[in-house]
Amino acid sequence: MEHKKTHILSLKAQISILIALIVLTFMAIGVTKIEMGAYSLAVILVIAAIQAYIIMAYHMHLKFESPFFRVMVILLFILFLAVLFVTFLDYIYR
Amino acid sequence: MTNTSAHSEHYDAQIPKMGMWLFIFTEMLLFGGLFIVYSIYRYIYGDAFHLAAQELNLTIGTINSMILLFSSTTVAIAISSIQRGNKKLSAIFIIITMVLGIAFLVNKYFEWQVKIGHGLYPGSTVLAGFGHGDTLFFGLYFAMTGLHALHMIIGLVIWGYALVFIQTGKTTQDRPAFIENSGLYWHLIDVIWIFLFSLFYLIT
Repeated sequence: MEHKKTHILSLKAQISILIALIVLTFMAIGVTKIEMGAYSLAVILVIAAIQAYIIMAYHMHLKFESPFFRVMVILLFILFLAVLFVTFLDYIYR
Repeated sequence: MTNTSAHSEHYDAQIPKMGMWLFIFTEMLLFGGLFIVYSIYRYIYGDAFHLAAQELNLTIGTINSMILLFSSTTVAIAISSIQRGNKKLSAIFIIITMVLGIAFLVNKYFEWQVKIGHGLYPGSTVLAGFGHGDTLFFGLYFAMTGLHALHMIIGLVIWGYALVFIQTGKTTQDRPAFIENSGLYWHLIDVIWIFLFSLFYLIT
């Protein structure tokens, strides 16, 4: 049983992640300046989701963990979307 | 020393990590529920939410986003330092993380102070005059960023413990689980902030 093969990211990789996250934040701010109507919320949420993915995959090491953790996170996300969907159905068709 | 080596044979870093992830799932559901409440009220009071969001200071929000993104990186460096066996560097980066966390909270304090000064707080007569949409927007704003700030304060206490554990040798290169799991918690706070920032500050 070898437990010491934890994946350690290099400093260069960590700086690249930081730069990517900062660029994405400013992209999201830029989107609010462009007139896109209802699409701007969708674009902002997609950018936020990409940022969350980067943090969870690399900083929270999900990319290097056993599939169990990834499956749990995906199931939790599906559960969240299902509850959101059902709640909206209730409000729209009430 | 034979005692410690015999002990470490039974040490499995997967177990505390799994416990931490289970806790993180409950945290995600806690904030998830609040995000659902937010979505419903934004759907119903869309126009009021757009107007109310103009009151929020995008500059302070952006600065706080940057602070948290930087602090996530300093945490990642603190973790990789302890994994490489550099305790001193790890402690330095934990201290930098704590300073960034405190800076975030100071910003938040001034931001809230301005809002409260303008009478924009739950239960105020000014807000009641604006109608349901604004009341709900600021109610959710204070509840959600407040809960987030509370998590940051808890995170700062945890980092204080991490510093003590590094000093006393409880957290070492062979047993970095405490710092790794504190890092997971801190990154979770960062992920939640990204969504709070997108939903409260980035409304056109």
